Amino acid sequence: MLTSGPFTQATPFREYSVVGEYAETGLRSFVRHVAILKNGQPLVGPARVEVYHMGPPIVAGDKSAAAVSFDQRSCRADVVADIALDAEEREAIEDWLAEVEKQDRSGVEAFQQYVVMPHLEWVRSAETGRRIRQRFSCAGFVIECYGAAEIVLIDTKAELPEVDEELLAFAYPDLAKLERADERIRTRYGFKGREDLGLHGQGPWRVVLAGYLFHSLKRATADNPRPAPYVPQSASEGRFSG
Amino acid sequence: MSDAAVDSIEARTPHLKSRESLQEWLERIPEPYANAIQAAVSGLPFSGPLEGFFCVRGYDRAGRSLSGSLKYDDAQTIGETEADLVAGKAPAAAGEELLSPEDCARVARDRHESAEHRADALREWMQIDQKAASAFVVDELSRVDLPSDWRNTLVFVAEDACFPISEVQQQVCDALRRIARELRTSPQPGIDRVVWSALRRLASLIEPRWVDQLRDFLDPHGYVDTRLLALQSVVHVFERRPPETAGPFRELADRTFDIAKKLLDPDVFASGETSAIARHAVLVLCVLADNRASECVQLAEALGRRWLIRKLREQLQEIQDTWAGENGPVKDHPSYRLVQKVLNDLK
Repeated sequence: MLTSGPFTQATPFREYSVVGEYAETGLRSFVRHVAILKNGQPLVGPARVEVYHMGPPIVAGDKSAAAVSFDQRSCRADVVADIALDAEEREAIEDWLAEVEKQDRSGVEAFQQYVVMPHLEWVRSAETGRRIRQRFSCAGFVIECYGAAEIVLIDTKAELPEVDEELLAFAYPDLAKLERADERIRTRYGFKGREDLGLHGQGPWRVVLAGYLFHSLKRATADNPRPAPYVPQSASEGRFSG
Repeated sequence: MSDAAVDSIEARTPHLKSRESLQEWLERIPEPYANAIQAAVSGLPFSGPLEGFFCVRGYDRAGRSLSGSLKYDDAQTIGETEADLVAGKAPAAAGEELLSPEDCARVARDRHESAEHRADALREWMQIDQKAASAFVVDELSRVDLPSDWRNTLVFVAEDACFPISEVQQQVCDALRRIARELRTSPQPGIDRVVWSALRRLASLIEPRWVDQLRDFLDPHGYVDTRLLALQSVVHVFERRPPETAGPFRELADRTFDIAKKLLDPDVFASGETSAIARHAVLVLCVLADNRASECVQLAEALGRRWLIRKLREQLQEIQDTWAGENGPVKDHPSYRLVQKVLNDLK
């Protein structure tokens, strides 16, 4: 089931459904953020719901949720995809969340938990090369979370559509804010510039936009509940209207 | 990226000497935060979609420090903020737009400064002069009389520092191990992530021959459960090459086996942290060339969870591929052979 809000009547969604938040202004139905619904619940109105996500900061369990404000552990449920995860899939997701929560650094240099591209990156020790923790984009968090349940939402090895500067700035408004911000604010947020977030050169960039996930999830039907990994064809698929 | 990501932005500057310089400062703060702070300081209502907390710090014409916080909920609450600004003692130097490395070092070393200011200065210092800042972090971490906020900052910053000399790495490991052991018994809310950070950094530096030290964190002792992170750490220590000898790790393997056997019991097994601990315990036994891994795999298979078997298989395959790719002739190594055997069993 895939539904976009606002939900005029109570619409039930199960835990670990995929939740999308639209940009409030500008491009209509542009999904700016994507997350995992923490608790199954009926949604009504323009609801703000608790989620697991890469805000930043990362929220992947009760302890990381307790360390942040409600705003940081929630998002608006403008569009929700519930593909009826089975018990196996839910357990695999719970196992993944427990593992990822151990990488929490809530409140500390949030943008050092975040990466735009690739959608997932391991931070390694400069001294030994060993893995320390992961950085995700918000879409990357959901892709990997569902991937743990063997649900491959996006074919990230395929050539993704190009995202130009204008769309990037719209998809990531905080980037521009932080680029203009005082050096101290940038330091406090762990923002070390675009290159540190994987955005090399002048663009365009092949970024996984949050909206792609809903185009992928929309294909899940009773006859084909787990379709093949999705390959988005155009950056315009950053928009999704149900 | 969530719109709330920077809603709790803390905007601070030690360089405001007047309302005019506050205005200049606000011009550099991204909207709508600047609008909210401007409105807060001037007592005007601010209407906009923004909600969140702001800290405002600065200095008035007399050089007194002004600090306060505002929570922007609606136009009614924001007007109270100016009254919250409290006068304090100004630091000796305030004038440069950015602190020099020397200023960063001075503020970071100043025990009379608040932990918050010291943390800001230390992070800035780390960006400007990582070598000197890292050396300072080692010295500080080794102290046992650190105020808790400052100690927590040092632990987090240690993840971003660089310690290229092996003796220094050992010193950092000793300090982080001591801190993690001490804090895991603390009931303080939020202490978990300090312990996790300390363990992650410890595991990234510890010499493989000392990996048995992580056994301390396999006991469910205290309020912070460190078992999952300790087991993940052992896997990370040996992710690039298998241990030279398995013998010295017998006690670590014994404790790991106990955990795996208990948590893979159908009466105990549950998805989430329990399954993640059990899964990593099996991986550790394989990495340490402990043949009891096969027994644990049988227990895992008996649970009838396909996802668990698939994850084990994926992770073991990744370990084996990395070992083969980075170490040349490794196929006769007992750990490699055991991983291969378990992979065959899982298939």
